[in-house]
Parts: sequence; structure tokens; C-alpha cells
Amino acid sequence: MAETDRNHPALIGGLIVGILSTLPLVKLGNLFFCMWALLGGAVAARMYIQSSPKRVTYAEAARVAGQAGLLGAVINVFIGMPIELAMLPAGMKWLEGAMATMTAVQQQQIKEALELLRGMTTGEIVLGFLLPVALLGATVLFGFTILGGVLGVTLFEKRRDLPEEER
Amino acid sequence: MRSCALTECDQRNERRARQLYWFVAVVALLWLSWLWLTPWLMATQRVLPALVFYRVFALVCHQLPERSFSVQGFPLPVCVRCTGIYVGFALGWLLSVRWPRMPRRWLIAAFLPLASDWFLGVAGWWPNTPTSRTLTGALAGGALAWWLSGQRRTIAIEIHSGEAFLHG
Repeated sequence: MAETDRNHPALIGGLIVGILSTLPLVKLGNLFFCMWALLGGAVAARMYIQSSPKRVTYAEAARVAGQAGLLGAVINVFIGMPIELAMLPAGMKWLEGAMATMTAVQQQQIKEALELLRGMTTGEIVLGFLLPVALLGATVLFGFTILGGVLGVTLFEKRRDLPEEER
Repeated sequence: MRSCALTECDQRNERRARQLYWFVAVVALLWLSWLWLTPWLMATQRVLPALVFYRVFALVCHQLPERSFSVQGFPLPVCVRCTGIYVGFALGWLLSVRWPRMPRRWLIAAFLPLASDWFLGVAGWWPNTPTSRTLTGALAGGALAWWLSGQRRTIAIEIHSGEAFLHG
């Protein structure tokens, strides 16, 4: 039997995860339990289920969603990091404004953190701050996209399960 | 697919399901440790790694300090609702090892209090509290873990069968 195409669902799912998690403001959707990553994984799983002639297993969906998550993570690192760098001064300014609501100890620590960042060169900021953030964030996106794929099978795969001993 | 005697298959499948159980348990506990590590790093003057971790969690949570638990005077990197979800997930996963499979409708039902608590709060009809946010989050996280745990034998068999991962 011909293999079901995995690349197309993974591409669409990956673009959903990557673009929506990277665009300023739009990426705030991820504040709802990493919604864009779950959505990207679920969309990839649904597309794969629709094109598959037989019941899609959790592992197959996890694999398609994993590919989508990988693409989304790559987009997030390579497009998101320059955006983060460009928006860092605005972020620091926002943090200074938010300090008013914090305790004295927190204010002191935030001041130290801001001074630390201001004392760093652009290269140091990229390597010491933005790159670790981007890589760890990409790992989180990858994990949530796989979870979205697994949940996608539960939501969209209506074909009957085979008994375990027959699989 | 490889064929094997029923008892041999059962034993192997049980072993795989156990491996998957411990893998997820370790990941869930590491995730929780990461949450508590972040404010501790800040409190102990390890500012740069703390900033990195706070920024990573900003991906998944609004991080409002007044809506977060604190450790040594510094907020956790996620709000009380997210904390509830993650603690609930870890507890649900650890405790569900001997529980029967959970029906899917229960999973959906377990998310309704969380959704209601959030929506009614946003609409201004219900003044949700840290307790309500934490408890509804924990219920949803625990239910998700219980449901996933019920699927782990199936997932483990599928992963190890090689069908999905080698030949897809």
C-alpha cells in the first residue's frame, strides 16, 4: 500500500506553529496553554487522518506533529530571534514601567538584571540570552506540538481501534 | 509486524508501557523543578539564567506577579492557573499508574471548570480567586494526565512496533 504523505500535514502544521508563535502580538495566543503549538499539532494530525486510508495511531500522529513542531521551532529560532533582538529595548522599557507594582527586593533585582543586559554587547546578548531562550523555547514548542498531535487523534480519528494483539 | 507468543508480547508491552510511564514522569517532575528553580536563581543573584528561564516561560504564560505564587519573594515563571495545571498533571500521572482508562468525555468535562472560571472572570460575572484558578487548573492537568496515562500502553506498543517510526 502506498504511504500516506506526511510532509504536507507537517508543513502546514509547522507553519501554523512557527508563524503564529513568532509574530509579535499574535504570539500572545500561546499564553493560553501554548495554543498555537497545540493547534499546529492538531491540524497536522487532522490532515494526516483525512488522507490516511486506515486508522491513524497515536505514534503516527505524534511523528507528524513532531515534524511540524520541528519546523515551527526552526522558524521560531531563526525568525523569532531577530525580532526579539529588535524588540529588546522596548521590552526593557516595559519592565522598568512594570517595576512600580513590585516589591523593593524585586525592584532591586530587576534593576540589576537591566543593568546586566545594558552592559552586554549585542553579541553577548544574542549568545548569552536570546539564543538559550530561543532554543529552550523551541524545545517547549516542539513538546506541546506533539501533545497537540496526540490530542488530535482523540478528537478527529473516528475509525474503530483494533484489539492490541492484532496490531 | 513481528509475531510473538501472547504472554511474551504482553510482558514486552507491559515493559514498554512502564518505560513510557517513567519517561513522562521524569519529564513532568523536571518541568516542575524548573518552575521552582527560576525564582530561586533570581533570589540567589544568578540573574542571567533566571532571566533566560523567565523569558522561556513567557512563551506560555502572562507571568503577572500578582497572579503567581512566590518563592523567596520572587514569582514563579507561570501563573497560579498554569502552576495548578502542571502540578495536577504530575500528580495525575504519578497516581494514575493503576487506575482504569478514563473515558474521553470525562477529559472534556474536566476542562469545563477551568474554561468557566476563566471566561466568567474575564466577563466580570465571577471574581475568580487564586484558589479557584489553581484548583480548576489542577483538575484539568490531572485529568489530562489520567487520560494520557490510559493511552500509554497503546502509545508504547505503537512506538516500539516500528510501524510508525521506521516505515510510517
